[in-house]
Amino acid sequence: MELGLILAIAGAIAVTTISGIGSAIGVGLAGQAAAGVLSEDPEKFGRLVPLIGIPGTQGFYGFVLGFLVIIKVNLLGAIKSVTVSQGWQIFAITFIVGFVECISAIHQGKVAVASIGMLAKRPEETGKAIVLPVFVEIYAVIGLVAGFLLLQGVKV
Amino acid sequence: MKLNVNPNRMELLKLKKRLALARRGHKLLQDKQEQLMRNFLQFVGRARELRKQVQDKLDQALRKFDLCRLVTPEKFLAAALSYPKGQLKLKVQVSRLLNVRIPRLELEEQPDPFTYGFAQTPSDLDASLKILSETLPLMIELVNVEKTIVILSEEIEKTRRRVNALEFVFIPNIAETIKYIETKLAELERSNINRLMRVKEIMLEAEAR
Amino acid sequence: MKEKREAKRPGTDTRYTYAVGRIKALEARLISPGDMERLLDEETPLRSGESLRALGEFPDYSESIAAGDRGVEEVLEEQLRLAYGLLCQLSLGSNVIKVLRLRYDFHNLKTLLKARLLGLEPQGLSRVGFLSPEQMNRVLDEKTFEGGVDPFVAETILLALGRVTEGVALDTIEAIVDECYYETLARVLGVNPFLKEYARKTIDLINLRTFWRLQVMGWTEERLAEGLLPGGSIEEAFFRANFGTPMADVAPKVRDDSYRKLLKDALHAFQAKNDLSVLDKLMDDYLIEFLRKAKSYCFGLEPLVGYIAAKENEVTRLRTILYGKERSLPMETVRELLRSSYA
Repeated sequence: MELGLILAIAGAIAVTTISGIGSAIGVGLAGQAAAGVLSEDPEKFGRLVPLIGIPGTQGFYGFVLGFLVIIKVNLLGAIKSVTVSQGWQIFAITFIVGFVECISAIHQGKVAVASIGMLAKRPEETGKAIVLPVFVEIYAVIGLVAGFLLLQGVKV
Repeated sequence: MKLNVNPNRMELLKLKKRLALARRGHKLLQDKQEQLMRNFLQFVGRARELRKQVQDKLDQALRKFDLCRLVTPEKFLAAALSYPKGQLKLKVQVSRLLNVRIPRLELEEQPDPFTYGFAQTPSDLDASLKILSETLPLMIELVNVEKTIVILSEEIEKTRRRVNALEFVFIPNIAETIKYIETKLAELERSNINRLMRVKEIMLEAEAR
Repeated sequence: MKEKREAKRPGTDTRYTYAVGRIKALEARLISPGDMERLLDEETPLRSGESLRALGEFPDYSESIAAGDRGVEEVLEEQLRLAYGLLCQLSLGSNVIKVLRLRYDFHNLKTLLKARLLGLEPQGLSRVGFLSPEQMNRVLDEKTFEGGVDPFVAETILLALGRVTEGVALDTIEAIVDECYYETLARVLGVNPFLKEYARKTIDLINLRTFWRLQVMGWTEERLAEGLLPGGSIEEAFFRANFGTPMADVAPKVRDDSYRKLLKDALHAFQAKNDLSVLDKLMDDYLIEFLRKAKSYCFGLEPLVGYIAAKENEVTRLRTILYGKERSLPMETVRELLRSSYA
């Protein structure tokens, strides 16, 4: 296997794992906070679920980007040849996007915790509480889109 | 009401002496009653003044205490107040006023209530306790004065009964008895004279015959 | 050991996220200022049975009332006991919450020490702390702890016991135990700048108040040395240098602006009525106001500390209102001393 392909696959793995780690941390935070609220007030479960889940999207985006790389090099079929320079390009794109997803997931987790706190105090503000983490989500999406476009630019 | 005595000169003399004595006693007792009354009124005035002072102080202390209690758990206050330093020592003395025995409490030693820490006690507790400490001597004085008033009033009552007994019973009785004896004696005298005159008449008649 | 592991920056420690979530839900159950106001506004004065009924209208309190035959004070105490118990669990054994609860153990400790010295029956023991009065009594007998007592608690109590030597004067026992407590408080809360500041402010305000109280009562400087707590930002030398100067002249010399303002307000009230209680209120409000920032933190111990303060605040407010009504005190007095609400 050539170095280029190795780099591309490493990139795919990196973006999936790094954003996965970020999402795990984010969901972990939100989940803990939600568990705290639920232990006092179990009826809020329905409203809390989106807040717990929302930092998980970054992991999914990372996986999508990783999958795009796999498709790009056609790992599942006849593997295309990737030059070293192309390999580095793919690796750089995926690695950095993974990083963005990771950071945004952690921060989104924190915002989600804050929103959960807000929801616990003012159940009538559910809508606003859910909107707040969505702002962080925008950057995760931008990261994904940018990654996708850049990947398109790399001609294999 | 006359006394049950034999109407003779001996008794009369004795009664006259007793009457003089009773009159003198009556006057003395009256003087004593007046003096007691004067003292009594003085003490009543003083008691009223003290009571007002004590009441004012207690009101102040209680107000301060309420300020503390509004924000502090009962238990914290109880713990702060339950352990004064030193003991309350009182001495009892007996004094005499117009030959009436009057007990008197004297404060020898007052405990220091300020044994709590400042960190966790409300500020106005200090003032409340200080006012209470200042009130204690006043309260003891008030107790003394009020006890004196009670004893004096009993004494006045007793004296008045005696004065009245002398004035309305004893003295009139003796006077009446004296009068009775005197009339009785005068009567005897007259009957004696009569008898003598009669004897003289008989003797004169006998002589004439 | 454990103290070192606390995050250095306030509001960042993610270990307490579950606890914070739970706290936020609990904070929603605190009695709202509106409900409190309604209780205060009810015209009729309350007799003792009726205060309990008024208290029973709040769900958490009605549970405590239903749990046993209790008076108002016992119910309030029970509420605090429950809150501290829960927070100690939630804080994953952090000393920060423990040291706050230790205040009640130290209260029992000094009360028992004083009672023993005089050979009197102890009065006014609290049940909020870690050790029940009976346990504390045994500790004083044996100077050792049974199993199951938290090592930090045991260690701190033993530290205080070690300071109270044989033959110590009755009126210094509390000063010694208090000093030991606030020293520990300052040390334990030193984990991050926010809590450290809170401890420092608490100690500063107590010292200023002690200074003022001594002045008002005309007590000696000896008592000042005894009463001042270590760990504040205002030096002991400052108090010593100004001892004997009227408070109105000392207040402007205090360096911290916020303290100066507080003292000015308190002086104003003191000159009008000769009461220092307003100072107590302003102090409590000042600290609550400081802790209010903790509300905005989503991580770390700060919201937990904030909740405990909020619960204490709620209980004190209820006590003020109910006691004021029971004794039919003038409403203006009650309002003047009513702590501002954290909720």
